[in-house]
Amino acid sequence: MSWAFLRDLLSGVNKYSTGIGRIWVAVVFVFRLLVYVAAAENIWKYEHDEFECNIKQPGCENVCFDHFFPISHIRLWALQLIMVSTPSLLVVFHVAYRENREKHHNQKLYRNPGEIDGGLLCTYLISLILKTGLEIVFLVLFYKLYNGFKIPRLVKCDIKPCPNTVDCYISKPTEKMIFLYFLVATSCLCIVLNLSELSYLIFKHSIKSYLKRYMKKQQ
Amino acid sequence: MGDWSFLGEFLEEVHKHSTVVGKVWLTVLFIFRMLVLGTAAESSWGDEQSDFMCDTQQPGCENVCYDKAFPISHVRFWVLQIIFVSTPSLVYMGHAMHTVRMEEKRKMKEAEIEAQEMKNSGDTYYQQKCSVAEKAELSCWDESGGKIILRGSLLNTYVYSILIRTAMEVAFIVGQYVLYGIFLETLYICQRAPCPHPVNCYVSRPTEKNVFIVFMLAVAVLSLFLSLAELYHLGWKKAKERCSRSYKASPSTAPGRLESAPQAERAQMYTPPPDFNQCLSSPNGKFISPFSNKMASQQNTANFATERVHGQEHTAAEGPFIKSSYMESPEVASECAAPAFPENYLHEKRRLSKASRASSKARSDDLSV
Repeated sequence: MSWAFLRDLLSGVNKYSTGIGRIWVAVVFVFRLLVYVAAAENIWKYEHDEFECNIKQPGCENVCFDHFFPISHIRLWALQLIMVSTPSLLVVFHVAYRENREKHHNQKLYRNPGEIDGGLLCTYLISLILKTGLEIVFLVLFYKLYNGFKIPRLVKCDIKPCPNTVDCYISKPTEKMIFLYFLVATSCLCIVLNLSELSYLIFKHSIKSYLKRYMKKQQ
Repeated sequence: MGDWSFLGEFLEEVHKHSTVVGKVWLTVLFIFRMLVLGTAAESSWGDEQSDFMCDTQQPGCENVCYDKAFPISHVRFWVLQIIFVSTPSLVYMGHAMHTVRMEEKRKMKEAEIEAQEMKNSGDTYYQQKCSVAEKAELSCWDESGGKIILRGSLLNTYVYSILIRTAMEVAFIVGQYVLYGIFLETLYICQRAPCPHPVNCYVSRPTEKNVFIVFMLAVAVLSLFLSLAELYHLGWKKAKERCSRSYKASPSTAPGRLESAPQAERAQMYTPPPDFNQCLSSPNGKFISPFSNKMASQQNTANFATERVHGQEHTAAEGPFIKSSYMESPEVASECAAPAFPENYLHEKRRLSKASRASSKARSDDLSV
């Protein structure tokens, strides 16, 4: 699977973003996408083969692995990256819609189709709220699925067909934990960036509209 | 290498706005770290756990022993090292892009204001000249390739980015030493539950891994050395600049310094006086619109002329600090070498001026206006 598609999409988003939005794109590219592709994928590559239980009973390892990892960390990470990047496309679509409208009517309807004002501002704010919401949802999901952000070295499993409580050993738990913390840290950083961008935009536009109203009153 | 294209594209931009040593550092990063990591090192560590053999039949013992021996794999460690060492450069690039954008916005606004004021005055001749100046200004910016001169807050950001990069480099080198020492041993003795006793574990391909470990360590030390060299280069230049400025403060030395000015600069100074309106803007322009506050703009132009002469001497004498727009648009630079300002003002200021040559040129200009 090539992540270049997502990269090209996000590069398009960069044009219509504020300064903080551009920092967000850089953080997503470098600290999340790149780390995922260059480092994290390889850690979880053979997680099933390397998962070992102290039992010879066939099928016991399979059911135990399935019980402890309903969805692998790495797949959840990939889903998170995709979901969190997608709301930015709303902005791209809205700008494309504006440009199409201008073409259709054959006249200049907007001062600049890419300028964040009016309807585009609403779309931008909605995309920010969605992004933040999805980040929080995924963080909560990680926390609930894996009992906090830790990966134990040893798990005890007593699901059929395992005849008794069996010791199962997870491979590379320390390394996986380091990257899990890295994921959490970058998610939190992205949430902070989104919230600051949200507050910046709201503040800026409320000042603008207040000044407009004030000028109108004076006139 | 395709995996690293995410970072590579960002760093290409940094490449444009770096010093010579910075460019060498980036090349070292691209070729000796990213490329080597992506192609050779990854495959060497590919079977690191599957071929990590422990002399035991106890299930789970190999897993826990591998985890104890390698809390984080070398390859992942180097990936994190490259990312963290590149991040300060990205911050600097962000600042540079921001500066470029602000400059462009400011110039567009100034051009708009001037165009409006010209329209209001209703003088068509000046309108034409202004549009020419505007075009020249904008095309100069494009011609220069958006390059910027490293000074002020941008220079500070650059220096801080190099300092942080150096600190990161040291931290990762020390971290690697603390975690693994320098060389990897073939045999690792492991004592951890559920292993029933101390168990011999054998690392896969230790010699090949050692080759890459030593190589990556050497490249990290080289990068550290390059960062330190760049810091020294920047610090030395800044100190020299400061020294020469304070040295130039005494007027007796002024003619001596100017006599040593290179041929090209002298030729520049004796070029025919520029048209006044063409000098309203320049790539390094700090001009305020002359229609707003004449005295302030005159003071500014005098100061600017002084600074430009200083800058020209420095860049000519010591080579370009950064390959910057200064050298890339000589036509406009020569035309805007000295602006016009009134003679009486000049007489008062000449004693205090540090660049009497520029002032004298302006005097001939002044007469034409």
